[in-house]
Amino acid sequence: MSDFTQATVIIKAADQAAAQVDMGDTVFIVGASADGLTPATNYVTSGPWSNAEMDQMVNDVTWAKKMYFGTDWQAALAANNLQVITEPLV
Amino acid sequence: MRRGLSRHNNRSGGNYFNPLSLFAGGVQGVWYDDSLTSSMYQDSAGTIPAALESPVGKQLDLSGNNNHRTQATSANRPTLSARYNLLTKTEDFSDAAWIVTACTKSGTTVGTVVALGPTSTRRNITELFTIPSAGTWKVSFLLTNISQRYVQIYFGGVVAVAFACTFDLTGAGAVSNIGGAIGAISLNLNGTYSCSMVFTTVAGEATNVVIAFVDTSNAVRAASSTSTGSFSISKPDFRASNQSTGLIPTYQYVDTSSVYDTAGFPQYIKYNGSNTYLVTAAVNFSSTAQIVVFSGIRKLANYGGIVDASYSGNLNTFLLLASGIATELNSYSFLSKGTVLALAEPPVAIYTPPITNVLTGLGNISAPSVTLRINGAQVSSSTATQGTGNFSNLPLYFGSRQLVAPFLNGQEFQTIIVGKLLTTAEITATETYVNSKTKAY
Repeated sequence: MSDFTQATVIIKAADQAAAQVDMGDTVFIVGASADGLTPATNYVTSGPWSNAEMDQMVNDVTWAKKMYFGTDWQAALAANNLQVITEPLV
Repeated sequence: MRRGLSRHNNRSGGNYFNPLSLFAGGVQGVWYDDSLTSSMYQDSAGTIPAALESPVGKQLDLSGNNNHRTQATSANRPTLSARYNLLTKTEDFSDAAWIVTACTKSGTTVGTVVALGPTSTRRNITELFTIPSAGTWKVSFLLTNISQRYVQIYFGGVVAVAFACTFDLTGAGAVSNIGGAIGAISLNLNGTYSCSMVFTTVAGEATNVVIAFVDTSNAVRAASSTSTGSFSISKPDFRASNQSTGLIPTYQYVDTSSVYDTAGFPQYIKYNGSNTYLVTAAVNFSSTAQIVVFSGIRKLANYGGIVDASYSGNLNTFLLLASGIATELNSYSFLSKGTVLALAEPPVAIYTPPITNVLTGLGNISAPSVTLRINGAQVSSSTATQGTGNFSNLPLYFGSRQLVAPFLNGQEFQTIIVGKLLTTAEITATETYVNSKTKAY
């Protein structure tokens, strides 16, 4: 993990299952939509991706994605007119 | 495994208090010390030592209970940091990070700005960087070797009007402010001036902002000022203004994104508010109906789970949130639940992010009470029934409410959870200890 890349990856909701088959079911769990309400139109994960994961997403996967480098996931979502879908606190 | 325990005798704040004493006799709980780099790893297997501005994949529990917390998914790992100064190159003005306009710059330890003469262009030295959110900020620096009358700090954003403070270095050093900024200047015993500007940015002012140290602004320059001149700057610093209250050093040297001053700057784990969190295996609190949660935290946004004992969908759990849930979002809340929920939440809007606090949540199912203390003082308590039973044997989540958005957008300095009632003296000593690692008050 000493080699990693901070990036925000946004996928379409329709690709969530395929993306989780490739990258694991612990990513792309946070939904997003234009108004921040369900249903999710997209899923997002932002953080330190390993080099192997970046290689896989760039070269091998078949599902569409947008990839923004850095830690500013809010700006990445805003650039796509998306908001995180939040759920009741309790 | 008990690692690094010798570091935790807190002579300064707790009369040799060591949080390990809270777990004597096999008391269940956890203790995560984010200041102890050797207790953390970049990977969840625990093979790559932690480093500043790198992910945290595993953190050892120092309580002796082996309740280590991990994050197996690399992209969901939070980041270890001790960064406060947002400027990117503070002691090398010859670096490309500093952009000059209509003047020259030089210097590595003290930057010298030389104006070129009368011009219609604002003459300045500038650093471009991104501020994380709307907020109130403080920019400060030392000023020496001045051969002109006026120096100005200027901040131009993309939404709000510009902020500026112009310092007249004759006489008492008068200050004129623009855009609601508040400037201050003082003459130090060694002949340097300490200059600062505090200003508040609005929502959306989050990218491509400019901090500039201007020789004299065309707009405010007085007719009597010299048209050419120079001055030297040292120790430039830009940070949230409520992190410039004297509890931590007022200047942080920054060389690169991962090389900067750490002495005196509390180290923290940063959760990004999107999807990062840490989690333990099930922690067995089933032999106790009492729980105490201590957390040193800086919340950068409301919402988000600071500590979640698998609250949603389960009975006999507890939850510490970075917001209120009943009356006021700009607050905190602690929930303790046997078979019935009880809530402690101060109904006041004084905990508006960004803010640093030491939180203490106390839950007691059997003699029903739930209490929230903030910065060493009780702020809310309830004796409403919590039903029956002891706490459960469930995973603990940090930075997330069981993977449900919104996640915590904030910085964690210290977390201690103890599965028993504590004495008033123990609570006070632990809060003092946590604050020594947090610098909240």
